[in-house]
Amino acid sequence: MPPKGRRPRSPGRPGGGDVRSSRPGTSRSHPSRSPRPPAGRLVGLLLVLLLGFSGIVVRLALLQVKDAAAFQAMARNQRVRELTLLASRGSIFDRSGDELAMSLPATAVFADPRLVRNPASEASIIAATLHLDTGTIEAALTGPGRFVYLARGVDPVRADGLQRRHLTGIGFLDETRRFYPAGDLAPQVLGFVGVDGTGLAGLELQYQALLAGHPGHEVVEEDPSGTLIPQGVNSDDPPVPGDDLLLSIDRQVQYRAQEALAAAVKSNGAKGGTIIVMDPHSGDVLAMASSPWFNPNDVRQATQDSIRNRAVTDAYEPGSVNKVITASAAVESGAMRLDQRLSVPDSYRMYTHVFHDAHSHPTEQMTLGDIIAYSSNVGAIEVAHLLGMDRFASYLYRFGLAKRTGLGFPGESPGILPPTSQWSGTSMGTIPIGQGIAVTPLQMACVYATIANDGVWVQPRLVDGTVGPDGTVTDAPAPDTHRVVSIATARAVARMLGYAVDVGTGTEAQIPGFWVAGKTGTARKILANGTGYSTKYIASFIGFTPASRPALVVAAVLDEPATVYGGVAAAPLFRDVARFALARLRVAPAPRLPTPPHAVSTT
Amino acid sequence: MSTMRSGTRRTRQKARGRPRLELVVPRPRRVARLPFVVASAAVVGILVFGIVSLQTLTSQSSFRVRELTRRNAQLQEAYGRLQLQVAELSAPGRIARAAKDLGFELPDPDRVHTIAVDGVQPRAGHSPSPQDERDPSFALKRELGNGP
Repeated sequence: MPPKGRRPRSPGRPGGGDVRSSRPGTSRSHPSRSPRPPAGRLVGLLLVLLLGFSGIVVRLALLQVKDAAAFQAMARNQRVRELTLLASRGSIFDRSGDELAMSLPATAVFADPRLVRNPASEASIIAATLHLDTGTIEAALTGPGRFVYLARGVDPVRADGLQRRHLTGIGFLDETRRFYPAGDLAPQVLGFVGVDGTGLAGLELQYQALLAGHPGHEVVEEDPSGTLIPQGVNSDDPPVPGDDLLLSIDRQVQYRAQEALAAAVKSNGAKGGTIIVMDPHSGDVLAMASSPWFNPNDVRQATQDSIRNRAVTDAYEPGSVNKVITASAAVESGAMRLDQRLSVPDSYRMYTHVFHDAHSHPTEQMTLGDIIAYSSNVGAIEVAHLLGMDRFASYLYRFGLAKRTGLGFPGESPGILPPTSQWSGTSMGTIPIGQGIAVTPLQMACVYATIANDGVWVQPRLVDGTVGPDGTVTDAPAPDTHRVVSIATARAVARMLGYAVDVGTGTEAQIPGFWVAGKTGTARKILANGTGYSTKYIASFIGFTPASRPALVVAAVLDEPATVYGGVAAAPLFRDVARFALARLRVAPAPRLPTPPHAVSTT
Repeated sequence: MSTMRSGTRRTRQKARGRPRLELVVPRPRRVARLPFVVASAAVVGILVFGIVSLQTLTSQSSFRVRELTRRNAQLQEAYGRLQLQVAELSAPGRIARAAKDLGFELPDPDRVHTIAVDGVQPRAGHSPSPQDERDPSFALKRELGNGP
């Protein structure tokens, strides 16, 4: 405090003096005229600051509260990647455990044409690396749209080489590629998959759910350069590989069957053909093929005809091979004794239609064995009349006609067998000799397997089991079975079938050292419009061997062979395939069956 | 001077109103701080070092796991390719073509006979079973678990 009574000096004027300050607030000598505090400007500044801070607070609230989730997601998307881990598709093995189909990792190469800077140059590099056509690639790179596949199923090593070129606008996706290492072996049975690995035909389609497995997911956190952040988000839901299929197919028998079929089709000038090899006791299909076939490794070259598994999808009029049902029904029902003789002329009139035997002959006394051995149409019709329509029809159904075999194969046909209420006046003339109905080759093979299996029908199967991802083998469920005829009837019919091969129409099917039982079939094909029969034939031979202890059933069917008779065209095919299969399966010869009662002289 | 005297008097008057003895709180004894600081620094340092080391180890392990996973995938892929190669090489069609190229031919089927030995009758379809433990494919698959 200054001493009392002294006037303070003006701080701005050294030396003092009673000089009034010209600036407000600098003098205490005149309080009434002191400068006004800058309250207005301060308040204004405060308001500006408040406004500014309020804006910040509001924005902060918007960011942190209202839009927090969106920004969190945005930030997460920049760092966290969710990857789909492809499940490995199950392999398909033959009965010996050899691969018939398997999948390997592959890469899909794609492009975003809008990002490609130099299409010509990039197309040249891509084409050279992936062995593709430069023009095609360049066209794809200059095309419209923002996504185009350049190549699918590329070898990962090759794709890595391309990836290292860092081409703009070119991307890579992980995928798998299906391989069929045995090439065109059993293609119609195996089927094939699409470019996305989904089964489109055959067993690949039928067992799609089992083979495909379940894809997994992986979530990883990466830095901007794509390097994994070790302590970041990292979760893993591994994929579950698909199960493997164990087929009943034996690839050696399958190969030989296809070779023999191809040769038979060629030598007979046939349009196509079908071959089936079955184990009559287990129902296992050891080989199944239809000509023409395709290579599943190159499906684009396949035709519709070659893709179809005609053994199960195509129904045809079986012809005389159907007489085995007529004979079985007659014996089982007691409609005819084995030694009973019928008077059989070479033609038979039913209403307006006259049925003929294949060759003219005088009226002969024939046993059931003779009728089967010489494939007499008239004799079979007479036997059917002894049976009666309803009884005969019931045996057709019991042998599995007019319903699917239970194989479950995609597109399997049940065949055609009209109910007896729709049978015409001549149906009892046509059906006993295998015309007027339609069956699949597999259905007919099952009929013969029933005889070979002592009268028990066994559901055929192509899949014997599955192998889980951990290697555990699970057997397929036991096949359905039902007895059709008694053991005695089955063996009696087997003797007739053996007799047919010994002395009848099936002599070309004989295999030295083994006794064969079988039946020829020569069926006229119906016209495409279904109004009648054409002049074209389907020749077939279906039988089993050894006749007294059947180990395998072989069905050989040729479509439109130049030589129409089943005994000439199809029986040699049966013989070739059966002979190889017997050796492959190490089947020993069995004793000969006694000949059935017969009346026709064999000399 | 008069002012000084009057002040002294006032002081004396105040002194007379107070007790002569006062309770004096003892000053806290001064503890040496250096060991505490050093110990704290050491603990903090060790903790920091431990955490950093742990992080580094974890990161290294993570990278190593990643690398091993990648390597595993590569090996499985290579295994698959070898499997494919074996399957292709053992395909009947390839062997038949190779045999033909080498001048081999199938024997006359009529000269091939299978005989039963000691009454044992081979059965149809009794080719090696894939369920057989000796089969390499499935035994290996069991070892590899979810392998190719």
